[in-house]
Amino acid sequence: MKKWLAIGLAVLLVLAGCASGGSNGGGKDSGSGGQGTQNQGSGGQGSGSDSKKPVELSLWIFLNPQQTDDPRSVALKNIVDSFNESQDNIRVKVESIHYSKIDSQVIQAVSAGGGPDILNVYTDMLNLHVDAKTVQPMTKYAEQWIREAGGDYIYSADQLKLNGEIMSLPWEARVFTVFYRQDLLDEKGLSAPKTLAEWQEVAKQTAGDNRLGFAVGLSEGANAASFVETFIPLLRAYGGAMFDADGKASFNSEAGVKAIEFIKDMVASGAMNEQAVSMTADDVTNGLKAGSISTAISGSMRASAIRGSDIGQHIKTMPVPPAEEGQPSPTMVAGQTLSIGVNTKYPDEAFEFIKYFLTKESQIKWAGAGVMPVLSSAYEDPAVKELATYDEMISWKEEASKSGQIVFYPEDYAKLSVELAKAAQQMVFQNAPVKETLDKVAAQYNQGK
Amino acid sequence: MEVTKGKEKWVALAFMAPALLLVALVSIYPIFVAVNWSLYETSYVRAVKYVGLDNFVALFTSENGVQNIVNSAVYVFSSILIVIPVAVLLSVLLNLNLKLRTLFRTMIILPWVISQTVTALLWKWMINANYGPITYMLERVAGIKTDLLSTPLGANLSLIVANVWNTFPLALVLVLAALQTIPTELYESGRVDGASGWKSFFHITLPLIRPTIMVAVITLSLEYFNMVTLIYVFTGGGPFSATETLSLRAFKEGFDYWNVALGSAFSVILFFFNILLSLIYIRLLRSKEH
Amino acid sequence: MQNMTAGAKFSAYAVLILFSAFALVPILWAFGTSLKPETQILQYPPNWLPSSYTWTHYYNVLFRSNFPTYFLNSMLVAAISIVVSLFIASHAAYAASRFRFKGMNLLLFLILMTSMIPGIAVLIPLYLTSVKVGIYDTFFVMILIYTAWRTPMLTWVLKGFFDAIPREIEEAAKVDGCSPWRAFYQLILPVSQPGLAAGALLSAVYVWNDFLVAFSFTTKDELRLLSVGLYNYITQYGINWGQLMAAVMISILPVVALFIGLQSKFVDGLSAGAVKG
Repeated sequence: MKKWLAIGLAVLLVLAGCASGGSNGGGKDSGSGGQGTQNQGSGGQGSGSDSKKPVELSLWIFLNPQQTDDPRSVALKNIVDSFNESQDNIRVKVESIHYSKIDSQVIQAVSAGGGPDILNVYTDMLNLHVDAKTVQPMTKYAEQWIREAGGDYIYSADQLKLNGEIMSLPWEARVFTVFYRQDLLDEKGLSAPKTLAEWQEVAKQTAGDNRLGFAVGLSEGANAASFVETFIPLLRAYGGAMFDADGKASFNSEAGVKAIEFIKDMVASGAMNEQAVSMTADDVTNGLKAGSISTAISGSMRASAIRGSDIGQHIKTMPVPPAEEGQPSPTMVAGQTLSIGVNTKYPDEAFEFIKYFLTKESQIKWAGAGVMPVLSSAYEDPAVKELATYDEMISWKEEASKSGQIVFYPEDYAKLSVELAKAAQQMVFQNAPVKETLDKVAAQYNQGK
Repeated sequence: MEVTKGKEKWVALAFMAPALLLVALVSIYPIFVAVNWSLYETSYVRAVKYVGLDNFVALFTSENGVQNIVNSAVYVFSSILIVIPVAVLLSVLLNLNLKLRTLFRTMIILPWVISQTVTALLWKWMINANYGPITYMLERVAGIKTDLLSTPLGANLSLIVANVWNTFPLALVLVLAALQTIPTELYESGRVDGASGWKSFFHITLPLIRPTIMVAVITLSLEYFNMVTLIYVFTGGGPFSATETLSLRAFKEGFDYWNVALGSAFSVILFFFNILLSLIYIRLLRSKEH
Repeated sequence: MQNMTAGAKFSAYAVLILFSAFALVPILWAFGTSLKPETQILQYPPNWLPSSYTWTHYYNVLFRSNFPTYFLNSMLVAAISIVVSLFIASHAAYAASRFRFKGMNLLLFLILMTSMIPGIAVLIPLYLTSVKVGIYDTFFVMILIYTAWRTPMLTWVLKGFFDAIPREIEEAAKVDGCSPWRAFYQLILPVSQPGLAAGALLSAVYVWNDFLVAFSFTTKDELRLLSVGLYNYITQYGINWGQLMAAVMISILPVVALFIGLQSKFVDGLSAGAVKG
């Protein structure tokens, strides 16, 4: 008798688990089943032409509208809510997925036949999504919109094309720039470096007992983001590029060698030491914040985190200096973009939402949250001009539009980043021959291309 | 035993049925899928071209393949060698009727409740060469400046310590529960025979908890061999790939680089190592029993 | 227990204090961080005691995010997983302990072998299957996987405990006409409490801390578990240390409560009467 009771109890509990999971869609066992497919499908409930039931779209993004203490999340919630209120035909629901996993989640979901209607894609990852066929081209919508926006949008249609198609529209921009301690420079009577050589000197002099004069994260963890964010601007300052027109590796050029030697010189002069080998981008942020790093390259989106301490208040930004005065030093630009999911049933409606993200009102909201807008007119708005970070944002925008280029990195970018970081560890700290090592990484990358 | 063997077998099967069904559905079927993938070249999650054992060979021909296995072995065995004696010692002490026993027990198992990600972030912060509180204390008190994370040895040591910190309570709980089931009269009669203190421990306690220790060793070994998150967040596999274990490598290939076939192949190799390890341990256990 | 010399007692306390310190230091650091205002976190020189206190981080975690939902979700999933896995594992362990025949060893090995399958190997296949079957993005699928992955180890652990219980108990019961089922429920389970308690704790901690499964099998924020929720504080803009630590501090509490609650099950030894009587 008791055994049947026990079994019954267990079954009840399991069903309860089933139901509570499915209760969001209502019902019992069928609820959980329905829940599953509902989320996996393209999310539409009524037909597009049914004016009574609004079309339901899902947006997958790394921000969580429930986190009301984060200004960016609040901006997102604001924008989505006002979009939903502004018209009756479309309702957008946000699913937030962690930024480090959102790409793999999307790929998995699409391969199972589902996926979001609208998805947020970081520019570095766009080719990955194109290759995995998770997004669909939006060329005709986008070209028309860009034409209507006039010159207001900071990008041109051609800049955004991949194999002749526009796959996504950036809704924010970020630049990779030098962060430095103004107070330390003042202390030593130094001015902001105007060339890379001057930077070496500044780093050497501002290094201290518990402080690195310069830091680059050489860790092979976290997909080696910090290394790439430093290496590429240096590479460009020396006149080189990561890939050539055919997509083959070209970072093993003279410029690439010089970029690595720049880092090696920092170690030789004492501005940097082996600590860098275990640092990720977050460690660089933490170091700047704690005052144990005096200069580093990082992304503009990390500025508010870096300034989150007393010491951090002294940190200023400037563009990566050129190799020699007067030479160009193209800024590395990236951004978050919105794409239309490949499995959506409502591409038109999806694009309506994407357009809304790019209206002046929405862009002003983003600016208020500390995000760099992509409409020039947003920078003119009086409310934006009031922001404490306005001057800096304008200077970043100048950097980006003067010389910045978005380069859409290839789909195997993650692996290449890690291989380069590993190679850099060897070149910088184990005296591996620079040209040969870079050649090796390039050859490995080019295999089969 | 008058009941026929036949009937007993059915009862036994009935007891085991739920477990068998569960693992068949959730574990056995998916591993076949994974093995299938490992024999192909994949494009994202689609198998594209049959390549047989190429992916497996890649482990040994690729640069770090053998290094990964060595790193795994070092990680697993060093951790076990520290965790087991510590857990046994502590559980014996916590089994005694000391004052504040519950308080000590609770404090000591706290690390177990912290997730691997947070463990990694905390320890990485605390031993940071510049602003870490532990390195700071060391410098203030002993004048030594340490930079643990920038050398292969230091990184491995730190990783192992963080791992021990996070996982030793598992062994502790198991051994403590085992100690609890030893009837006190055994000790009484032992004392009558003249055994006490250490003798009683070695001759009475240890043999009785040996099976539990073995379970702990195997469980923890498997956990360490398959561990990804702690290492991923703590060192990312560096420096100089010194902490890149086979499990981390399998994870990176499959989930970071989207080389699902290679990731699956490495995972299957991991699976075989797991089985091998367990068989070795079981063999050792059985030989000691006799 | 036995009479200990004063010296032995002293050493025992010393060792316990030492290890408690080892266990507590990082947690105290985390706790201190959760009370510091954001500008004081990551200072040099680092201070263990915050120079000023703030409850903002706790406030933000509890009232300005979905943390309470994640917390309750984890409690629910953990509770159900514990009950179900203990139920299934104890039955299998009992069979493995009491019914010895050739096929049994094979079955046992089969179950144990599944615990040697690395989680990362089967994550994607399980995901694809769960979508096909329609159980993706539910509590059910998470409970299912947690139970399946814990059952082998729990079976083995419980088998060990059952092995230690003398068969004389059931033999005596059989003479009285008791079926194996009744023997199991009414005689064996009650005296296996330390083992069951240990098993419950093992399951609880595993579910509480797991990230890969919780992350891969749900997308909806309402179903999110605690371990995934913590990642909200590790953003691409930087780590929100204050809130992360506050969230961690809160998430420790239930498991500690469980442990203290189960303390009474870790009773001192088996009473003699069970065997002799």
